[in-house]
Amino acid sequence: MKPEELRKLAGTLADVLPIEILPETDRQELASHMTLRKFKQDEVIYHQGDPAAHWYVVFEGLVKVLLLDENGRELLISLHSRGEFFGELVIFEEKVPRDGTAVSVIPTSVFQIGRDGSLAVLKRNEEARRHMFERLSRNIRKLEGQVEDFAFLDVTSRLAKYLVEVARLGRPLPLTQDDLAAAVGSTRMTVNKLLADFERRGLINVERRNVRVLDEKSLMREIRA
Amino acid sequence: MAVDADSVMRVLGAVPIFGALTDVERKELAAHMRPRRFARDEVVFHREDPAAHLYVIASGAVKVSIPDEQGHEVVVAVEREGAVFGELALFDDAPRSATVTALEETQVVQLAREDFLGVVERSPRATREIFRLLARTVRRASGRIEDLVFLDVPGRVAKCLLDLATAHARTDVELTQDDLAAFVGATRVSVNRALADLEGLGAIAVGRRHIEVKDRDALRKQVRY
Repeated sequence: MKPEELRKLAGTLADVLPIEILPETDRQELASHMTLRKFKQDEVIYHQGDPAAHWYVVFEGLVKVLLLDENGRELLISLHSRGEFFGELVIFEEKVPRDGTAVSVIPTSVFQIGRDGSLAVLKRNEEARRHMFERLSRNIRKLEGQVEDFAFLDVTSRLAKYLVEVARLGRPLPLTQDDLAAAVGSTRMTVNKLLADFERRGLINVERRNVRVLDEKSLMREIRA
Repeated sequence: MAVDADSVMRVLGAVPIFGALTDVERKELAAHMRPRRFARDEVVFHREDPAAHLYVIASGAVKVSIPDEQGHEVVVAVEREGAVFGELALFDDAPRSATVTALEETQVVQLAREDFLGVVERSPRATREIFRLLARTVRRASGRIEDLVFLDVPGRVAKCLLDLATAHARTDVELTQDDLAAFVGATRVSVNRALADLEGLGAIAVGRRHIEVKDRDALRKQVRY
């Protein structure tokens, strides 16, 4: 795809990505360091431990980032949908390998953007830097919230909280029960049992790759520190 | 020891963000900084407080923690001389995400938001260092989550002691057993048991309000995923 076409495509993300804060020349420069990559469901975008030279913006679809331990256990640390960044720490740190594995949850296309070009653009644009600071700060707050949940909450509470949070996004996330287990740091078996229990009590409806929250208030009462 | 202008300069020079400034810029900045002293267990700021300053530790140590409604807390980080804290809320204009408490007699210098942002705007190198600091914070937070999910309590205690001893290049970790419990997200009882086991192995010596790391390799062997 030509840079011109890529720019047009990226421009359609304007409601979630303030591309207009960049002057024309910088938009051109970014586009020249950018490619659009398509992934089928469950394809790996990058592996934990890989050397890193690019960062990504989701154009459409959904991406999960997993942390893997030596025994192959997975922890789903974050989800990224349209207009959201992932792998962006590469912009700020040199020669640090990927600390997680990024996988497409459903068919997904992402903009892959080179580190060096992005650094040059950031260097020139106060507004873009401020935007990045804000995104990183938000990211850190979110992670610290997760630290809190994992330290204080049991599995039942974590699952209830996760379901409420996902439901509040207002759009269904096509997560499997394996994904849910990895997100709350538990096993598929435990999550399956808990979901069945929530469903039996009329709190949720378990569908294929979706959990619909029917009674948010009661689900919230399952969250106990 | 009072914090005089010279020692403020010395402290600033050792912090990567401010080390990026010229001598003149640093001197000007130091003139705007106010030294403050905190006794052991004194709170520097509370979670949810409005944020107006960034802090640099001139001497001593603080813990960064998140309290929950039930009065539990989880310790997110321990910071020592030369470390910066409180920078997060300056970027996204949000209230404090954590509570910071002095672990021992601690001297800090505080810098107002506008003065700090002035530095950021003036110096590309300082900006790069702040991005690097934020990126490290992101990694640290996801590392904490990983530990909480993948390690059992004895493993988390061993890892926490190792990390603290390594990060601060010393063998003494000045934490109470309550702090340690809050750091690893466990009860004091199970932390006590883990410490007794580690002491039995000759890996550490437990004193009042501090733990001495005697054998790093023995500790490392206890960190099993």
